[in-house]
Amino acid sequence: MSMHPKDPRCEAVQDELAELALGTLSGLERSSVLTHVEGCTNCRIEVGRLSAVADAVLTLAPEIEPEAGFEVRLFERMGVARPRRWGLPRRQAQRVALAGTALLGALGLGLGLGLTSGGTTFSAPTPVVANLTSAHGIRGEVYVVPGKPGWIFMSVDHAGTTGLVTCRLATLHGGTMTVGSFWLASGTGSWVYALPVPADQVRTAWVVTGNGAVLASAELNR
Amino acid sequence: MSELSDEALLAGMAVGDETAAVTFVRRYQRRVYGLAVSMLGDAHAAEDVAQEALVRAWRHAQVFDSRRGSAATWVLAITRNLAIDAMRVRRSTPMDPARFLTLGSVSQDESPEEAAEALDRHPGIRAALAGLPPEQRRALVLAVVYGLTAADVSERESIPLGTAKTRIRAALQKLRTTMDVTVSRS
Ligand SMILES: [Zn+2]
Repeated sequence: MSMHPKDPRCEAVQDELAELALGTLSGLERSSVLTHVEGCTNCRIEVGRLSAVADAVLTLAPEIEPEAGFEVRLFERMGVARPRRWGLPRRQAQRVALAGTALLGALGLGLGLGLTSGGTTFSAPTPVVANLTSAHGIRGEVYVVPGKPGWIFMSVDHAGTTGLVTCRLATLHGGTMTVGSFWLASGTGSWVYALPVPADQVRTAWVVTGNGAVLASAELNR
Repeated sequence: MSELSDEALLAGMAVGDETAAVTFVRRYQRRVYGLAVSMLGDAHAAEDVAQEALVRAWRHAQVFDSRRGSAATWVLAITRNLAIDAMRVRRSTPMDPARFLTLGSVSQDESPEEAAEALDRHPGIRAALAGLPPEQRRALVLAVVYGLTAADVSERESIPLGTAKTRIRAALQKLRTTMDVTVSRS
């Protein structure tokens, strides 16, 4: 099982890696194992793999139908309107703006955005979903939800690059605009942004690199 | 909206989209409730834990990071931790790994179609868990699902500490080998 049996320091903690991954080591054991693992790439990778196995075990949880009324009680607790009576109450609308601002703030892009709240309401949003297509093997999806403001979610995978990319949109009227930028880490990134135009006006979304090359595109309203 | 990926639903939830939240709940409530029931063995306590887990997923969707794992493992880990807390409060709750194993029908064969249909499950891991010696399987479930330390497992199973550690480690390693094989094939 040992991938790197040569190093005696790795050998010494080998037995504890499983419990480190499960988070069940006692404080003292934990700190002595961590001292090695934090500085050892091989052991860190091993712990990561073992954690993934533990996560996979949880996904074997049985599927059991909850008792009658579960959903009603749950949606009440969540403060979510009853299904089939969509409509975003004011509190929710403010939350949209706050959550959006928090997200963008976390990305370091939070300035000068015209996100507004107040009496905004959403009426039965029907999202438009499209796959990102690319000649470079990039995968991803774009998800546009109508509303005031509407919002766009973009996720990119397998882009083979790390760095800042830009989302550009084309509207049905032929206009193009830059909506914002997001960070790809090892080819992967996802991002959500308030739409500057009504959702049904978005025709195409592009992911563009810093030097203007189009990495991938998605057709939304054809 | 039911065709949307988990990642898209969580992004929608992060900005307060109720439709996304309802879709997410309907996709996961049976698994979240199932895990809670299998851990707690009590429908009333399980409902409370399952609901709290889904409420937290809704409130904290912004912190979900798809690079660190799937939505399924995220929401199930939240459920697990809440169930462990609930068990600490209600000390009387008997901890029975067999419940997780039998309710989850770990020992039953699942067709490849069923396995593929089941959201986000690692193919082969169910069979691998079923294929473990019973004492290793029990030790693994006690550690992974119920969060017991090796010392707790040793006490519960009346076995030496070293034996408990070996069982947990061996079980995890075997599943890991199965997963590595599955991943490298795909
Ligand atoms: Zn090492």
